[in-house]
Amino acid sequence: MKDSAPPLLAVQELRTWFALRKWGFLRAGTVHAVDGVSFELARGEAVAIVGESGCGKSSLARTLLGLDRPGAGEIVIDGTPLGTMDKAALHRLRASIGYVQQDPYAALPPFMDVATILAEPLRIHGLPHGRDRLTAALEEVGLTPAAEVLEKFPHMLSGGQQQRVVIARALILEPSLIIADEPVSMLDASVSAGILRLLRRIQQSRSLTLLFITHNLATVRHFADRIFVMYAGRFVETGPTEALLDTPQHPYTRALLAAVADPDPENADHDRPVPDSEPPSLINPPAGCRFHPRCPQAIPGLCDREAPPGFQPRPGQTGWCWLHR
Amino acid sequence: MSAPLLAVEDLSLHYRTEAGVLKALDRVSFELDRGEALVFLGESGCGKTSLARALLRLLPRNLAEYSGRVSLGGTDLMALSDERFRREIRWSRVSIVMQAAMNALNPVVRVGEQVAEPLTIHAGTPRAAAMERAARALTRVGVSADFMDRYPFELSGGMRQRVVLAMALITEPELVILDEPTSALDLLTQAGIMNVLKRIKRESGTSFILITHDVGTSSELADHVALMYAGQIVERSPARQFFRTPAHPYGEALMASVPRLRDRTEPQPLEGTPPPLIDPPAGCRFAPRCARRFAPCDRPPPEARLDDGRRALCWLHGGAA
Repeated sequence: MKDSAPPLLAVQELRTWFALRKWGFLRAGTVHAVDGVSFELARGEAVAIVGESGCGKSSLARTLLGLDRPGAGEIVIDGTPLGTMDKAALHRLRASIGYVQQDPYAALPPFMDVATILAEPLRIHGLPHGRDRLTAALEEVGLTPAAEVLEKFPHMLSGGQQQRVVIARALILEPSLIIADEPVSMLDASVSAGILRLLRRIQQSRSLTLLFITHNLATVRHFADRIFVMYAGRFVETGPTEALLDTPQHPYTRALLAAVADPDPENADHDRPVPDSEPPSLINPPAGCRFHPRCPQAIPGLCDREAPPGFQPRPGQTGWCWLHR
Repeated sequence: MSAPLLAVEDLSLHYRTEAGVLKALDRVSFELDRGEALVFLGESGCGKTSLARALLRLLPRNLAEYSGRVSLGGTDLMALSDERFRREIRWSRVSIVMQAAMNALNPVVRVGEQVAEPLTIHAGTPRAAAMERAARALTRVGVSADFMDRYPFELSGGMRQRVVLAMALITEPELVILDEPTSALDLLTQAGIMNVLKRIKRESGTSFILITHDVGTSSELADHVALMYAGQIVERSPARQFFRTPAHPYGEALMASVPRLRDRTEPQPLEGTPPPLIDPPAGCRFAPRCARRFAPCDRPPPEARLDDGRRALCWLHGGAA
C-alpha cells in the first residue's frame, strides 16, 4: 500500500513449476503453475486471490506456506528472504503463518478430540497449552460452550463448526498472516456467511494480514480490501475491491464477473455472456497474453505474440492488457 | 388447464440407520408441467438428493419406507414392477444427470459410444442410427461431433459434464433430473452449461427438475421453486415471486445469506442447524432457528396458499387448524 511501513510479505517474480515425469508413452513436461507473480501484502490488509481451478492460486498459497518449493523468484517475509532462512528460522516462520484449508473434515485428524487438535501446534512450538488457552481459542471463533466442544471429535461437529475449529487452530500461535484457501466452498450458504464474517472480524481486530483464495467473486466484496485476479499462472488484474468489482479493466475479470448469477428471476430470460471455452494448459501456456484464445477483444498479431504490459487506470489498480496501450 | 406431466403426492423415503429410522423425504407433494423447470433448492441434508432417488427408484439397501403416489403423464409409477420401471421409465422417459457424473464415464469407451448407449442398450436402436443421434445430441450441448472418437480423459471436466448431459437427452425423455449438475465446476464452465440448459429448455418441450444448494444457479433456470428443509417442501412458489419475496422465513434467511456481486448488502449468516431427521420436532421444523417464531409454531404448520401463487408451510400467513 501507499504508506512507508515495510510490507509483511513481498513476492518478486515468483515461479512454481512442477516437472512431469516421463511415464510410459506419456510425455514429460513442466507445469507452470505460478509463472512470474509479484506483489506485496501490507500488515493488516485482507487480499483475495480470485481465479478458476488450475490457475495456480492454490500453488501460490502452498509456495508461501513452504509446502511447495519456489522454482525461481524471491519471497521476503517480515524483511527476511525465505531462501536465506535456516531450519530454526523456518520453524519460527511456520508459527507466524496460519493456514485454513478448503475441506475442514479432511483438515482435522478424525482420531483427535478438539482439545488435542488445538493443543498440537502449541506443543510443537513449546508453548503452554493449558485448558484456558484452548477455551479462549474456541470462544474467539464463536464455538461455545467451549468446555463441551473441546471434548468432541471432528465427526460430531457440523461442517461450519469444523471450519471454526480449523480457524481456531490456524490462529492459536498468533500468526501475522493467515492464508485461507477456499474456506467456504464446501459449506452451505447460510453457514458460509458466518465463516467469512468471522475471518474478517478476527483479521480486523487482530490487525492480521489475510490472504483469501476463492473462485467466486461474489464472496469478496465485504471480505477483502484488494483483489488479485489470476489466470494461467499470472495476475491479469489487481486493485482495490470496489474499483475492481465496479470498473473491471481486463476482459477476463469482466468474464468472471459476468459468470456470477445473483439470485434473480430474470437470469432465466437471457444467456450469460461468457466464453464457451476452457482455460489453457499450464504445460504449454499460450504465447502473448494467456487469455487471448478466449478473449472476445483479442487483437490478432499483438495479443497472441507479446505479453501485455501493465497499465494503471487509477492508483492501486493495474491491468495487464493490450487494449489499453 | 391440462394435466401436469408429473404429479407427486405424499412421497416418502426413509432409511434404516443404527440410530433409528431417518426420514430423508417426508410426505412431499408437488406437480410439474410439460416444458417447465422446477428447482428443488435446499442445503446439505435437506433430502433433495433422496427426492431424485425416490423419483427414479434408485433405492439403497437400508430402505425403511418408500411410499406415496407418483404419476408421470398418467402412468402410475409406484404400481410398476422394478423390471417394467427399468425398461419403460428410467432413461427412456425420465433421465438423470448426477452430481460429478462426469467422473463416472467409462474411461475405456469412446465418448460417442457412451452417449449412444441409452439407445443401443435400452431402446435396441441399430448402431449406425444411434451413433448419428449421439453426434446430434453432442452438438446440442455444445460439444463438437469431432469428439465422438475421443476418450473421456482427453476432455476437460466441463466437456465431460456436457457429454453426460447429452447421454441424458439422447432418448428424448419427458423429464430430465439434474442433481447439482454444475457444482463441481468452475464459474465460467458452470455459466456455459447453464446457457446450454436454457437453450434446450427454450427449444424443446423437455421438463426439468434441477436440484441444487446454489441459490444463484437455481435462478438461472427456474420457473418454479420448491424450497426444502429437513425432509419437507416448506415453500413452493413461482420463481418470479420466490427470488424477490420468498413466503417462508427460511427462504428469507437463505436469500439473505447469499453473497451478491451486484448488491452492497452484506450477507447475513443463519444461526443454528437443521433438526435431526430421525426424530424431527412435531411442529414447524424451522421454528427453532426462526426469527419470527410465535406460539402456534409448536404445532405442524398448514400449507398457506397466497394470492400470487406462493405456497408456504408456515403459520405466519394464517391458515386453518
